[in-house]
This record gives sequence, structure tokens and C-alpha cells, in this order.
Amino acid sequence: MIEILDYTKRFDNVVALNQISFQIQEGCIFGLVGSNGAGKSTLLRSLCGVYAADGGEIRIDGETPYENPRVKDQVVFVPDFPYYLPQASLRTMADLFRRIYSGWSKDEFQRLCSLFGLNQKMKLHNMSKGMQRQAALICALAAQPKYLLLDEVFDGLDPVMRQLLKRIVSDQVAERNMTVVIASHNLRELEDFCDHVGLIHQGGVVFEQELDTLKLGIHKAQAVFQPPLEQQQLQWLREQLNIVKLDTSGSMISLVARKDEETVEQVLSELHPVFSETLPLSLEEVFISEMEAVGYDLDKILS
Amino acid sequence: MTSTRSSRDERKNGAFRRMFWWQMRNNRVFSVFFGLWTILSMPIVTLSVILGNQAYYTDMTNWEGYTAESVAQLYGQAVYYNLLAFLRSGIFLVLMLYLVVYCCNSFGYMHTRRSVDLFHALPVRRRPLLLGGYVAGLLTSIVPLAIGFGLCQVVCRSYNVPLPNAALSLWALFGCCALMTFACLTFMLFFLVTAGTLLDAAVSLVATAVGWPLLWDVLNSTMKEFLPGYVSVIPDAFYTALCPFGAFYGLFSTNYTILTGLYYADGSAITAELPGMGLWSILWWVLFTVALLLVTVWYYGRRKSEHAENNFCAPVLRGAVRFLLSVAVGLGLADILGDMTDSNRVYFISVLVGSLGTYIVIQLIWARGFRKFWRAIPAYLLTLVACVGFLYCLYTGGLGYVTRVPDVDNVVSVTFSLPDMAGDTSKECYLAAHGVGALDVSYGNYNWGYFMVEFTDDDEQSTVLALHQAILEKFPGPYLPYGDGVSQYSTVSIEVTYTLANGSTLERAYYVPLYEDDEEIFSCIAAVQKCDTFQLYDTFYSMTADALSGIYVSQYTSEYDYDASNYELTDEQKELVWSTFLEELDSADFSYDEGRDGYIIETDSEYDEDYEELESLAGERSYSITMNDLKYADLNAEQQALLVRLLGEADAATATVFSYGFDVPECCEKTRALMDELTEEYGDYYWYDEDSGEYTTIVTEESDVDAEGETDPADNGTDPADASADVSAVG
Repeated sequence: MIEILDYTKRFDNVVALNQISFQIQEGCIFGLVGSNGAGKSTLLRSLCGVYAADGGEIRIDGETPYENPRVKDQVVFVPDFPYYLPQASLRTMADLFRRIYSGWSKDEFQRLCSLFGLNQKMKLHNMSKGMQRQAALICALAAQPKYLLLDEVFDGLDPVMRQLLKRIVSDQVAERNMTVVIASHNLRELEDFCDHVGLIHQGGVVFEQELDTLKLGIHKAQAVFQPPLEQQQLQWLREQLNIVKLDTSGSMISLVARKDEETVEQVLSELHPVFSETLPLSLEEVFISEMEAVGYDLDKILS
Repeated sequence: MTSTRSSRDERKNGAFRRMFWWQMRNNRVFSVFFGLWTILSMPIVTLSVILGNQAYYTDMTNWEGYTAESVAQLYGQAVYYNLLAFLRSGIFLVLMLYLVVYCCNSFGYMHTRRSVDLFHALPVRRRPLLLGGYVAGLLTSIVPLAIGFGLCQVVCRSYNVPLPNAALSLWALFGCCALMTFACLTFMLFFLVTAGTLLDAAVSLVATAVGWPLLWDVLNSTMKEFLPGYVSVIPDAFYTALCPFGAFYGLFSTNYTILTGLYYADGSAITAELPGMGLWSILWWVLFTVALLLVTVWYYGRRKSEHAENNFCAPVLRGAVRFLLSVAVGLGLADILGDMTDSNRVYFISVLVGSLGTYIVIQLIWARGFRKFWRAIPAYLLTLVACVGFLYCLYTGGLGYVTRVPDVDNVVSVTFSLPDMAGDTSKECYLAAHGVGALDVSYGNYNWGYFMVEFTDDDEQSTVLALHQAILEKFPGPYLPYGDGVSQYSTVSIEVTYTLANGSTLERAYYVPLYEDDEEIFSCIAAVQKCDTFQLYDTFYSMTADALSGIYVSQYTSEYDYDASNYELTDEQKELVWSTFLEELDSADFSYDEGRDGYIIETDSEYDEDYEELESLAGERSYSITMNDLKYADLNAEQQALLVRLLGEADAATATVFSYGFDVPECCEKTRALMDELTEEYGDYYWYDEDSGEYTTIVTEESDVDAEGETDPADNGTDPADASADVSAVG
């Protein structure tokens, strides 16, 4: 299990992560989402022991990963721009991982190379961006880590490779109870891949929840009232539905509420709408709504 | 799926070994190239050198007068020095190149974030990660060197080449090479670890390796400019103490250079046949390297990953490098511009401009622009304060350095010389000029000695101290480097070294501007010359006419050329010349002011480039009485005893006092007339005009010969070429 306790990371005067706390259970696929510069990559680098804490701590299976080979042996990090040694081939990188990671499986490496169809002897710098990312994933997965940290892993992969990756990772999670933390802006990919999701903004955690619970707990609704609702009624709606976002346009209102579908419909019906419709949110819509709620509003950015 | 995971605990202690072997593999291409080059080239070059010298050194007809042992020794030296030359160019430079490539390839990951993500996420602690690569680099450098030196040794033994110090020499040299490889690799690693980018590491490394020797050289030069009597108090070892590349290169040098300070740190290697490092040098480099390695490893353990690509990490080190280079360039630029303009104002402005300019340039490099620029400027004040403080200290006499003269009761002995007196303008100085205040001797097979006069008698020491005090009165202070109207380097040089009762020494070397009315200094010099010890060292005072070899006459034939010939004398002529000369020397009218050099063309304007007014060139001849090389057996008993004391019995027995000439000034009219008369037996002087292809008689003031007249050399019965053919020029 990964425990993040009041973790703080600073770069000079910039606080990248400010006293964040949450847990990631074993065997889950945890999606880390957030705005640009929110601190997702910093958190991943902290989890794999690249960065030392400036406050608080991170525990993986009860131990801090920084300068702890025993913990780091179980954690593999695939960064957004994987680094390869000069003139290295996939085989060269595999040789490094083989020497360093105790869980390295040559069979798994060969199997993954076959699945992804990569030439082991080809210079990595001559490969496309997507192939380079596949190479990094092959090395990471062949090391058979207990914790796999992926940063923007879907970038550059074609749809087939994305599905392949998801399947391989899911299989390993199922077989070895591997824990995956994946940071991405591609929320549609995360939506059908992750079972937990955490939203980070400006160095803090906005929420961290099981994805299904998250999606069931937030809904958007549209309703038409004749006559239009008065301010008192809108305020009542806000109180009843824990509204994240509310727009009015004449007699029509659009809202996003942190309530289940039944509650939303029930509350709206009490105001006798001419028409009402309640729908679940996609992860992307949840992201946008939640980000707007904390002030990351597209309209504000453009204004 | 079957997991092949092994016990993690089994491997937890193998990180160093894993990184070591991985780095060996990672650098195998460079390592193999360097290894093959070293292992193959060293014995091949040794073999080539042996075969190239063998015939010459084994043929004794080339070595008439030499013993077989001494020729064998020369053979061994020739092979050894040739090998050193190859090591200097073929091995040292390749090794440095290899270390640079190796370091960049193995440790360059620290300077980019992407590579740090990979390496610092690996389940290896920082220290084994660093040390694995470090030890691999060390071994791949040193093992080929060991094999190369071993093969050289085998080749030399196969051909019975008697290397200096027999078998030890190459292995001693290898030991020093291994140590300095250790030092250089650590030095590079230190700057790689403490810098955020490769450029910063390179700039810091080069700035330190160049700036450090430069700083000491500039400090030394500055003190020399300010302080009268200054003799370098900076040990040579300081120059390369933070520049292992320089000290390493010095291992292969057969000549003293500024970069070989530590190499000669114990002073023994200057005249030694076999180069090698002194004990203190070895000790320093061992301590330096171990300490630097510990600091590097400690720092790397604390180095934040986010320092990669950060221009502002290790600010203290960056500040130190910036300070070092700013001071060195500031003072160095001032030294150059001050010399050019002879202006103190220019000197001090140059210190400010040079140091500030360098400071700003380095800051711009560190920051890649003007980021944090104004915040960095106040730190320049530290540089400025250091420069001003140092210069003020010199201005006031270097904390009493200038005025310090020991009390005669504290002086055990004084060594003293007046080596440059031959160029000065008084009778007293002239007297000193003959003996140059020292005994200039060759002895043994290869060495020569130049001995300063050593005074141990209290009364004699007092005369030296009196002269020292008289000199100091010419430098009352405050002290400035330029603009006093007198260049220190165009005047007379006086050196004095006191050995004090506490065992320490006090050394001063003055460049004293002397004038005719400097009666006090002249009388002090004369007093020193009258000391028995001084005269014992000076062959002039004890030689007899039979030591003369002849007369040396020279005169200018154009602005840049002069003719010179040496005329042999009979024993009677020698006696006559010597007695006449001594008689005039002792006369009250003796003056050395003019006429010693004969034909001096003072300015270009006085010289007609078309040679039309030849007589304007041919003012007078200059005359010298030359002396034979004096063998030990030719010396008087007192000088023999002195040589035995200075050289030891064996070397004294083979000693020869170097020959030199006694210049005869214009006032010695009788001697000159006599010399004219004697040399006329050989014919007159002629100037050969290459344009016309004709000989022209050189006209002297005393001569009545028409300057414009052309004379056929045959008419005088002697061809000038023949006249000079059987005489040899004095060296």
C-alpha cells in the first residue's frame, strides 16, 4: 500500500506539492489527474524515490522509498519522456534492468517484445516516439514490479497499442496484485482503465475516490421552469444538491451536483419543472466541473 | 505466470558490483580503444626508440674519451627521455581524453532530468551508483597503463637498456601515473557532481585548473612589481596543488615548467637525472584525492535530483570559482597593462575592470543570461575587497617584508652575489664584474655549479648587511608598481640570502637603480669586494698571466652585425698585456664609464641604412682579455680548498672554472694600444659589403686610413677570412 502523509515538495520558492495526503490500495489502478503543473509528475517522482521530501513522508509498504533500494526494487517508473542511454538498443536497456531489478524476467521480456513487435537490436533513438514508449513499458513490465508508475503513458501510442497496454497491465494487476499509478490528461482512456482516481490542483488534492463511486455521486441535470426560478429557489437548490456548477439561461437551468441520480431528480421535481433530465458525467466532465469549482475555469482563463 | 524474482535481500549488498560491471559494459568501446592503444603503443614505441639509438650508442667510435659505463648511462637516458616524450604526447593526452569521455558517458546523467529519472529511480543507493562507475573508470585507466609499463620494462630488459635507476624508474613512474590518474578522475567527478549542467561542470573545472596556477603566478608577479627585493615566497607546489592535470603532465617533463611545481616540490629533481615525484608531492596528492573523493561521495548522497539542469546548485563552489578567476584576471590584466603603460593609475583601474569584467562574464555564463544578475553583483565586493586589501598590504611594504633586515647576531651565514655588475658604470662595479662575485664551475660528467659567495665571518657579514641597508634607503616607500621613473629590470641585480640562527632563511633580490653619485652604495659594494671570502671566490684576484688565452676584439659592421675575433698570444705577450692592464686598473684615473662596448649604435636615426657613412658606425673596437679554462690543478691552494668544500673531493678534481673575458675600457689607453699592436700582426678589420661584393676597411678614430677608401685585402698581405679562420670566437 502507498501512503502519502502531509507530503510537501518544493523547488526553490515554488511549492509543487503542499501537504497532500491520501492512500493507494494494493492491486488498484489509480488514475492521477490534474491541471498542467498541478504536481502529478512530481508526485510520481517522489513515489519512485527520485525526489526527497521537503515535508511529510511517503510510505510504500511502510517504508520510505528515497534512498531505499529494497522499496525501489519493487517500484518502476515510466516517465513521460523516457530516457535511454546513448546509442542504446532495447537489449541494452534490458541489460541494465536485468542487472538492477531482482524481479527481472527474461521470459516476460521476450513475451512482451513479441506482443509489441519491437526489434530488440534496433537503436532506440531511431525509433518513433510511440515505439520508444513501448520499449520503456516493456522494460518496466519485465522487471515485474509490485508498483508501476506511469506518466502520460498513452501519449504517442496508437489505439491498438493502448488497448494492448491496458490489457497487459490489467492482466498483471490481476495475476500479481500489482498496483498501478497512472498520471494522464487522457481522461477517456483512464475512465475505462482505472478503478480509483485522484484529482490534484496547484499542489493539493481536490478529491481521491473510487471511480464508480465518483461517477455515481455526481450528475448533471437540465430543467426548464415556468416561470423561471427565483434567487431564493436557486439558493435552495444549491443547498439541497451540493451543486458544483449552476448555469441559468432564461427559464432553463443546467447544473452539476454531487448527488446520486435519484436525489437530483427528486429535488428538481419538488420545484415542478416543465422538463427535466438527469445524466451521469463522464470523467472528463467531472474533471472540468471539479476544476471549475476550485477556480480553474476556462471562462476565467479566457477572460 | 512464473516469477523469476530472486531473494531481494540476497542482492541488497551487490549494488556496487552490479553498477561496476554495468559501467564496464557501458564504456567498453572507449575502454577497449584506450586499452589497446596503451598496451600496444608503449612497447612498440620503446622498441622503436631502442632500435633507433642502439647503433649510435653502441659504437664507441662516436664516444671518444667516454667510458663504456658513461655511454651506457647516456644510452639509458636517451631511451628514457624519448619514452617520456611519448608518454607526454601519446599517452597523457589520450588518457585525459579517455577520462573526459568516460566521465561524460558514465556520470553525465546527473545533468539532465530525463536521465536522472532513470538512474535515481533505480533500486541502487547514490553512493554505489557513483562509486561503481568511478572504480570502473579507474581500473580501465590504470590497468592498461600497468600492462604498458610492464611491457616497456620487458622490452628494455630484452635489449639490456640500462634505464636510469635500473628497474625502479619505470615502475616508479607508473606509480606516479596511477596516483595522478586517480587524482584527475576524482577532480573531474567532483565538478560533475557539484554542477547542475555539463557546461557548468566544464567551466568550473577549466576555470579552476587554469585559474589556480594563474592566480599564484599573478600574485607572485604582483608582489614582485610592488616589493623591492622580493623573492618568490610561493612554493612551486602551490601552482599545481589544485591542478592535477598540470602536475600529471609534469611527470613526463624533463624541463622545469610552471606546471611541474609539485613534481619538483622536494627540489631534488631539478638537477636529478631521473624525473620523479617527491615524497611530499605524493603525500599531497594522496590526501587531496582521498579528501576530494570523500567530499564528492558525501555531496552526491545529498545532491537533490532536481539539481539536474539547474544552473544555481552548489553556490558556494561557484562563488569560489568566480572569485578565483576574477582576482586572477583582474591582477593579471593590471600587470600586463601596467607594464605597457608604466602607469599606476592604469594598473589600479585595470584591477577593477579586469576583476569586474570577469566576474560579470562568469555570472552571465552561470545564469545563462541576466537572471539573478543584480543579486550577484554585491558579492563582487568581496572580490574587490580582497584585491584592494592585498594591494594595500603591498603598498605599505608587505607587512614589513621590504624593511626586514636581520640582525648580524642572528645571522649564521650569508650568501651573496652581484651577477649583473658587468653592465654598470663605476670602477667599483667594474671590479666586481670580472669575478661576477661567484665561482662558475663545471665538474663531473654532466653537471655544473654556480656558487654564490658565502660569508660566515661576522665582520664580513656586517659589510653585506651594510650594503643591504644602503639599498633599502633607495626604497623608502610607499611602494607602487609603476611610474617611479626607474624600471627595476634595467638596473643592477644584487642577491642576498641569510641563514638565520633559527634555521630559517631570508632571501632578497634587488634590482637597484645605480647612478654615479650613489657613493654610499658604491662604497658598500667596494667593502664587500674587499672581503677575503669574496676575493677567494673571484678568480680575477688570484689568477696570473699564464691563465690568459688571448685577445678578443669585436666591432659593429652594421646596425645588427659585428665582427669578432680571438687572437692568440705568446707567453711574453700575455705577461705584458696583463701587467699593463693591472697597472691601468689600479690607477686613480680608471673609469669604466665609456668605451667598454666600443661600437654602440644608440638610435636608428644615427645609423645610415645605406651604409654610406660607415665611419659613423665604426666608432671604436671593443677589447677583452680572454682567459683559459682553469683546471683544478691551475688554481691556487685556497681556491682548491674552496672547491673541495663546495663540490666534494671527486667532483672538485674534475672541476674547470669557466672561461670569461676581462673587458678593457677606453681609459686603458696603454693596454688598448698594446692590443692594437698585437692584433695588427694578424691584419686589419674589414667589412664586406654584400651589395658591391667588396671589402671596406673599418676605420677607427685612431686610424688615419681613409674611411671612404676601398682596400684590396690582398694588399695587406692577409685575407680577412684567413685571419679569422684560425681563431675561435669566445662563447
